[in-house]
Amino acid sequence: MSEAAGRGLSRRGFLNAVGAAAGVITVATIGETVGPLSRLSPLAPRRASVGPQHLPVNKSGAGARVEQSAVDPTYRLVVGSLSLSVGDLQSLPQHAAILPIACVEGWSAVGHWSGIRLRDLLDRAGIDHDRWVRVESLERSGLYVTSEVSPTHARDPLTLLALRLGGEPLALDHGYPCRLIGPNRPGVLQTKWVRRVVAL
Amino acid sequence: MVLDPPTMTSILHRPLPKPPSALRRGPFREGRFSSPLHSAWVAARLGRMLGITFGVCFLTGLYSHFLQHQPHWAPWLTSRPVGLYRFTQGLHVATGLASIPLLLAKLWTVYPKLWEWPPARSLSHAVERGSLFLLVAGSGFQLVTGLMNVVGWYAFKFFFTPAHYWTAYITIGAMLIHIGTKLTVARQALSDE
Repeated sequence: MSEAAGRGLSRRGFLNAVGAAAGVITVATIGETVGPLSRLSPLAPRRASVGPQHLPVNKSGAGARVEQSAVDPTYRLVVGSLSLSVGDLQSLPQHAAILPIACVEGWSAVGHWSGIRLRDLLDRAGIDHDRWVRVESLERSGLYVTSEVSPTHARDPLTLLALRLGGEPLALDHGYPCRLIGPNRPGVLQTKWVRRVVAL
Repeated sequence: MVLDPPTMTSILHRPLPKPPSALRRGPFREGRFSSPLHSAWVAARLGRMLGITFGVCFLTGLYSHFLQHQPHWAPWLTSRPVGLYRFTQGLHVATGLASIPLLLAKLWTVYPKLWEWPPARSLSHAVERGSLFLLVAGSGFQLVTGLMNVVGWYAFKFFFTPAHYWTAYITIGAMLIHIGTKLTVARQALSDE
């Protein structure tokens, strides 16, 4: 039991030191997802409130090379047979949702989004309730230029094609003119700069 | 040639010839590692914590994988609770990061076993030690690539997600074998206050 007595660090002391190291690492990084602890987390790769419109981004509009296509006046969102300009989108019924962006890399932050319910658009386009849909980005290449949406997510009243964040139009980095935002969905699937929604 | 089970067992457990003791030098020398921190007592406790953190990482990782590659046969991957993924993925990264000092300490505690003598007592002993290579390599790969991904350092040429996903199975499989082979020793060590 006390074989280590007098020989430096005891077994118990060693375990406590390792446990303390794990604890310090946790506290020093957890603030990237537990907002109130962010002041204690100098090692957190992200801060939940730092970014355009006080929300972090992983991929910027410049990184996705959509700076021109996203603001092109000929932009149309295509949903099935519908083709909608930014003005058309703004004139449709708007809904609000408070939803987190939760990145696979471990950070998360809550945004106040508003826009058009995806299910409203699917209904307008005559897409059936049990269909999976694919949301496609203006972004040309990359691992996450499209995402698939299950019927449960697509029909959820909280799943939006958001036009606004925090009461302002979406910043380019957040997916202007419109982006997908849905509940309980990894950030990489919250497709930005949406140009097309197709039924699968 | 198909061996019937008893023959197979006897081959696996038959003692291998001992290597000449002249080779037992350097770190292989008896009593080379004398610190009481290199003990089953410490290893079992660190191992228990790692078992928990790796288990949590594996399950939350699977959840993340299946949400991202949602199979059409899994309608239970629903949109509620709204913030479930936020919780599971935060937990995934937090337990992964906490595993780093635990794994380093565990490896340091048990590394004298790398110089065990004789290196292989029997075929089954050799196979068991070989599976530890998978466990150590897999664990290191998961924690290093995970950490790199978290800090946005995409320095590797392969795609992170499939590599991290498939290596998880290798690592967890090797961990289960490891738990199975060490269960008796670990239980005894854990019951010793």
